Amino acid sequence: MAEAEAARTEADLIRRCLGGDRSAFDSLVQRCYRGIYNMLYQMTGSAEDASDLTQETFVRAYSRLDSFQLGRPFAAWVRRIATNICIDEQRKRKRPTVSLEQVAESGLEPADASPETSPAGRLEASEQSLRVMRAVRRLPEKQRVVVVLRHIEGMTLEEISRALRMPLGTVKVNLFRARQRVRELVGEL
Amino acid sequence: MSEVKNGCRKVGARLEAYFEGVLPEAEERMVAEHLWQCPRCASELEQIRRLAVFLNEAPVAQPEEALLAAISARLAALPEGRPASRGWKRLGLAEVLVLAGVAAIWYLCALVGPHFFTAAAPAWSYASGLTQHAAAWATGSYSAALDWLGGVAGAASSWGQAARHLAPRLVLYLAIEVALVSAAAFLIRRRRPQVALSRQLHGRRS
Repeated sequence: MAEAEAARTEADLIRRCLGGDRSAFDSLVQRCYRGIYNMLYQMTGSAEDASDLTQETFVRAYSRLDSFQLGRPFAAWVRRIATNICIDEQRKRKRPTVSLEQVAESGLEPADASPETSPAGRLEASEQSLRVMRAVRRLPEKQRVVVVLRHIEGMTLEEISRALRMPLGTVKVNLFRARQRVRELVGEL
Repeated sequence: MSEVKNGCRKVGARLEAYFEGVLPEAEERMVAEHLWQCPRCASELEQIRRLAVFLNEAPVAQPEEALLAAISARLAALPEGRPASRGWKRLGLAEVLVLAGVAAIWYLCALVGPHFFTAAAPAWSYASGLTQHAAAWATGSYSAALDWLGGVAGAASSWGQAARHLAPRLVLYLAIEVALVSAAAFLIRRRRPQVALSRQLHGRRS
């Protein structure tokens, strides 16, 4: 019941927004920007990048609002935009992926690996969880995105396949390889 | 023992899929049976489970409070008016290439079409006589060949006339065609969301 009410309100906000009321879009942003930021943070491993990409996501969502189909969840649509922006951005930068061993050898910690030193800070987690997430950030781009969508966003394999326009088989291969790699990097859990 | 080892190899490659529940029924049964008798594979499956738990419970990153204000500022900097009224900018490379291809084909059709042949008829007749007069020159019949050369000037002139006559028409063809095809692509691109939105905004009239 509350879900239906929320969907109706969301549709109202989008209608108002399409009518030129920009404050309505601010309300939509307010509803889902935290989730988008978290997803982008897990994908990029950087609070600064996540913040920039979150802004970019909502700017793009606003400018493409006419292609949004009312009745569908707005957050899922924005999540898809965010995922595409993140993938494009990382392709542009061609950020190299390195293993945890390489990180340890170099004496450098991955960016924002520690919640205490992160500008986004305020992360609460056990050392084991942090090790797992650090390993995820070392994965190749596609594998990392699939893992984040599957486990952080809780999407099904079919949903990931649709969101990334990636064949289901490729999603599975990426997910399975990613988890295998994370287990290799982290060791015994 | 080697049977179990063989099974380990087969099962090891399928454990992730087994955990996700995406194996075909027969393979799933095979893996489940193997897991009952192989503690090593069972332990590996347990590791996959534990990893999934850690991933599912990954710490949530909280954005800085300034982020919301930054998003609002970015949105406020956009041009005034309704969102997404800039459909032209959304035409992708594929559409542009298709349009260019269709335009090129149409242009070529217009170029070699009946108007062109009619207007350039004298030039074609001189051009087609080229072989005969070249043969006449070679056999020493200079007067016939010189006659033909004299006609070349007339041919060039008729080609020029044909081009002058057809140029405005060809430009017009091209302009109309580009406008029509581009408008069609633009409308097709926009039509779906518009139809969906208008249905939702104004209700189902039926």
